[in-house]
Amino acid sequence: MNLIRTREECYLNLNPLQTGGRTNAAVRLTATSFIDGYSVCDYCKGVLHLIEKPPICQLTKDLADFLGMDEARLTNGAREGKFAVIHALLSPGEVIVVDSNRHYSTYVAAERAGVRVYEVRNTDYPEYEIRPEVYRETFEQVLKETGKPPKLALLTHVDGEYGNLVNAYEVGKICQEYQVPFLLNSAYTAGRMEVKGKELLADFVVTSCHKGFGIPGTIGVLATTEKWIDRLFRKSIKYPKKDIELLGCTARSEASACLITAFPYVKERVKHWEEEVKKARWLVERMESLGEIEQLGVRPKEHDLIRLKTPLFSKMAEKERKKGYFIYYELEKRGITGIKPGQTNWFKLSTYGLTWEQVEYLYSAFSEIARKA
Amino acid sequence: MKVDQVFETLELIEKFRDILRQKAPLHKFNPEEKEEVKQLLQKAKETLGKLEESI
Repeated sequence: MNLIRTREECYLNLNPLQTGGRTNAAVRLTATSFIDGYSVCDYCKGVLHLIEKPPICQLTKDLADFLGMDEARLTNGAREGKFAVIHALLSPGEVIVVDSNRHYSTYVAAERAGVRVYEVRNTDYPEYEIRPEVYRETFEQVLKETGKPPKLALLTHVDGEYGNLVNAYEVGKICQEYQVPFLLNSAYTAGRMEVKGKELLADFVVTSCHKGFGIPGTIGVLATTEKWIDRLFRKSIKYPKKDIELLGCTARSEASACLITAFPYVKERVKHWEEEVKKARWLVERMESLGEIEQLGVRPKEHDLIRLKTPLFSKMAEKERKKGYFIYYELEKRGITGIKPGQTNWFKLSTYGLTWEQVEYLYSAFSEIARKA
Repeated sequence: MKVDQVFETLELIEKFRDILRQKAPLHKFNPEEKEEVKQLLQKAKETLGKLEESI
């Protein structure tokens, strides 16, 4: 059986999870040649981040610099990075503060480490905004209830539900004031836009490269500052080159090689972030002009992930034979995919990486469907 | 046999995939784009030809 996926070639794929991880020809060529298991281990130096051929050693240094941090390691993804930080800094029963727009894996990582979670509430409908000053309120609540400040604060730089960009620097200032280490999850930002961790007062930055660096996965980056290197990257006594929190070597596959190939493209593409935001804003404006469609989340958009409340389509669905699936099938007929089937009240989409011609086609498809109302 | 030419051909095919992605879903090419695609595929054919000769 030939298992083939043609979604990116045959459709406009709007799935926000996937748009930043789309590969280019050079990356796919690297993936093909490094596809065999442990392919990056031909010239092993005892641990992944010291391998010089392919130049993973240089890559990890470059990634630290790219994220504006002092030291970095490859991980298997952002969630593994979050768990590593939580596990390194907190003992079971201690408190982590996280934003309520966080990814589920943030919560699961905290659960795995056996720590207590306090959430920074969002502003609810329609913006669902995480306001930095609510970190202060939450820290005060932790102090009041436990007698101690939290051991760690985590911010999801841009969340996966509303695509809200939070002012990380303001959160960082509050963390410094309370002397709470600050972990920035930049899964939806690094690789799309410039993220400089230390400038944002972050002690730790995690990111997902299959989400934001245009490569296959699974692979991420965990970066930190001078202050935390020894604690976060403490070594095994028996195997002195192996980082304990990373269980030694992480992404031992084509993903690491692909990241080397993709890195120059990623450094270039972050320079064009404003154009990506323009596309998102343009689409939101046009979609809302169709009537009974409302962008949820902070306005104007500062990210390509768009969540739309769409009573227009849910009303239409009531009269359609396919009911809630009608919008999915109407889009599919027009070569558009990536919206969850069965959903018409609201949906999420991403315009990242689409050409203007494709964004205009996307709007014309929605407009054509809306005219059937 | 020249293994390099295997990857050279794959690279050309991957570049063609990039074009398909950029032009999805309608794949409507203007005359310049058509010419670009034809040149790419022609080069891939030539590389495959060289590979065949080398066996």
